[in-house]
Amino acid sequence: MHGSLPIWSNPAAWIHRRADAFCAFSRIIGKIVAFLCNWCSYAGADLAGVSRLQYPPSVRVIRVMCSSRVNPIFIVKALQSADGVLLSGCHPGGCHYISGNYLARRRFVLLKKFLEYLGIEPKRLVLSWFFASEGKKFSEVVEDMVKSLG
Amino acid sequence: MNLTEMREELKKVIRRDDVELIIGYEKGTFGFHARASFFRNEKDVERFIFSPLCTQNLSTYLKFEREKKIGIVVRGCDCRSLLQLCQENFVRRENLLIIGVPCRGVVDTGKIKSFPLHGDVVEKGDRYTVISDGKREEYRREELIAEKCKFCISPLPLEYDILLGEPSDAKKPVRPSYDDILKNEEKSIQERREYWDRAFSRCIRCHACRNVCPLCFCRRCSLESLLPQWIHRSSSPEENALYQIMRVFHLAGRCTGCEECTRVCPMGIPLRELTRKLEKEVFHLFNHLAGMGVEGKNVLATFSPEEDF
Repeated sequence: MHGSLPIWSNPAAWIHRRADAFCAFSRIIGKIVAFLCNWCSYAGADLAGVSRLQYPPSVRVIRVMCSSRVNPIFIVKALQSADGVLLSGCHPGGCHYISGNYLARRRFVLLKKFLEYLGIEPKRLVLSWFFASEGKKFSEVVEDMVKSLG
Repeated sequence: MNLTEMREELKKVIRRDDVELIIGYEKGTFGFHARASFFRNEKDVERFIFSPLCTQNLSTYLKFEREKKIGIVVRGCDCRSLLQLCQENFVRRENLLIIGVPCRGVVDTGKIKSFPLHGDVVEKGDRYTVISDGKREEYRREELIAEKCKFCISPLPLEYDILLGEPSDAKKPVRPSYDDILKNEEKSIQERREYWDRAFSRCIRCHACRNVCPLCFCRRCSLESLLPQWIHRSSSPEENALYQIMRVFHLAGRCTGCEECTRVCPMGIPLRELTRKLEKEVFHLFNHLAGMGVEGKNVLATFSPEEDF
């Protein structure tokens, strides 16, 4: 049913499908859903691939237009099937939409504290910024996450 | 100010041309609990009561628009909800006639040992007397008072057009303190997980917490939307947790702590511990308290580039 609909009409189903792609690989540890912003982080992750840098295969990328597009629901929904969630955007001050990442930062910090209170380990939520040129940083961040989760 | 004087004052208000109705309290069906009521003329106002049993937050009923003014009876905490609604442009301040009541704390009826249907609660000094069917039960104030009142920072409404009583009638405010959730914060992560799993497994998804919340005013709610469907219809602890996280987080930086959600929850889920935690974090991280004035912006819609988390 959801297959025929565009992504933006049903983000819930989409996040679920992306995270559920892990089901076939249930023994994989450190399953990560990464929300990457279109302008910096996604290009950064792309650079990691283009430069043939090794990073864990258990990361699933969801491209969003800005880190502030990520509703806190997205993150909690992804956590239902994944071990960790990475939220990433342009560095503070470098947002394509000028202030999106500042808003995302406030939300994320609050959500992390709140989920910790509900008994979800804070290491499962990671916020990290990288530019399009920082492919190396992307692979390192993901590597560190998988190590700490595993 | 006693009840007769309050009613006289309200009659003066309802006689005004620019006021359409007053939202206040009246005796409930059986006579013990109080319920919300809408007064449109002087005869209606005769039904008005105010006692420590009037626990409802009446700003919940502002979910319609009117051309004339609406008079609304509020205590300090309800007034903060009103101001937050004004701040979010849901209602206009000039369309409201805020009738403030200096508050001395309300009774949590769940704490009364018997189950009274008739009767009343009388406040005298630091003691409450529950009179019901000829029987009298004595309680100390701390035994019967609602949890929110123990941490009340504004017993006197912050803004009002008319005050029923003297400002000195209100009890003394306390500084913002979040000691009541310390016992949860001190637990280990595993213990907290188990605690909330147990709490959320009781949820029957009746939506009472959402419906009663004065600040939950979206016409289309993502909690019951089917496309996208964020939450499964079946209630499992996991889905219930998602339900509450979504609901409470939508109130982040907006919740004014009237704790109506906790009061109406039929399964006794300690929802106040969730909203209090968010309030605490918003206060400590962003130094912001919701509903302290009509001016201002939502804390999650603003930012300062200098802050570093």
